[in-house]
Amino acid sequence: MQNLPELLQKAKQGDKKAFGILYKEYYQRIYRYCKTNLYKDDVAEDVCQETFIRAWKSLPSFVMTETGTFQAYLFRIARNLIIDLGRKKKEFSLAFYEDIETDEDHIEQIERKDNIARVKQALAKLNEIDRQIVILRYFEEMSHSEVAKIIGIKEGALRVRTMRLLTKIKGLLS
Amino acid sequence: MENWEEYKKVYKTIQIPDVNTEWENIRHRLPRQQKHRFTYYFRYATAFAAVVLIIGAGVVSASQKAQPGEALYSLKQFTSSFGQIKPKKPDTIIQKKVTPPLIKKPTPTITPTPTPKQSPAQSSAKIEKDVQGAHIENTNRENGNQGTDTAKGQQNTNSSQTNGSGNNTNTQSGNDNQGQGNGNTGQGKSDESHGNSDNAHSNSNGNSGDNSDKGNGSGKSK
Repeated sequence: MQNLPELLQKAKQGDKKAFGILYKEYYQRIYRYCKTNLYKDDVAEDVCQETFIRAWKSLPSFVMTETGTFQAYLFRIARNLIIDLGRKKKEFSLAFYEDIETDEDHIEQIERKDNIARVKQALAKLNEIDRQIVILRYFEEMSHSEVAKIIGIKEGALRVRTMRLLTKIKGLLS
Repeated sequence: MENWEEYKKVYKTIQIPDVNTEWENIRHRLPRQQKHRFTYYFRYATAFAAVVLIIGAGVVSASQKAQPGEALYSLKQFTSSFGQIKPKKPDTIIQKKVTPPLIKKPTPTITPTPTPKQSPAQSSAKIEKDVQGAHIENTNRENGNQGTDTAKGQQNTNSSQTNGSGNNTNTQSGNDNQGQGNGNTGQGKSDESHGNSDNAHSNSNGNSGDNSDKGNGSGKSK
């Protein structure tokens, strides 16, 4: 990828080609995030596309202060859209689990399924914000500051919340 | 936390649709970008500072103008006047005017005297008498003022009345002030059948009771 600020500047001025490069760079992550929170593929695709359309529309008002804030900006739009759709705890799904094809033997597969089912149950017991923190912080491997921006809380508060959340998940999985 | 790592592995292997085709789809759907409006972040701070400056300047200017003993703050002065009754000054005591008690004077009462009722015949006779008296007075006045009228060149003549006998020969022009021979006034209405006007017998001097301005002695109209 080219220099991110340069691409952003071009996209702000209406350059669709530059925005296309940004789209291809971030599409995978946004889609995964949407898919994790939404149970249907087509809905996830729609939300993902809507995320980029909204980002394009409001791009001139976006001010990048640090590296990585554009990613947080996209995830925040996606999160807001997911909340708007009202797909929260009940609709939370791990449907992608069945799509995985592995070369493991049957016993290993059963064990694996059992482990994943536990995680699934543990995540389902969490509230919406906690679940977002887990996905963004541990699966997407984002920094605390980025996650704090997406969730809309202070970084210090997020750190405290993450610590408590880990303890809670350990208790649920054990 | 083994479960956790496995779940993460699963998360990372989520199948993703082709990015290029997705981009081709979305590319044509991209709308016009919203124009970014300039936002001045310190607008409230600036507005507050401006208000403080204005009030401060007002207070300073008021304090410069104030005399010793006066309130320095014009605002305080201004607001204190709301809803408060001004205390009376001790020097200005309002003296009540002592008015003497009114004495009722006895007012004379006029009692209307009852007038005797008159019959219609009596009243009409009285009216006739009054009219006659008024005519006589008028003629006397006319005679007295004749000199002045002739001096003005406005002599009033009445042919029917100058005859003395009361015969009105010129009845047509009798009422016409612009008539050639006899200028008669409006009041000199003559009765053709009788030849005597009502006024005729009362006018011994040949002048009608009414004084016509238009009638000339020569009979020429204006």
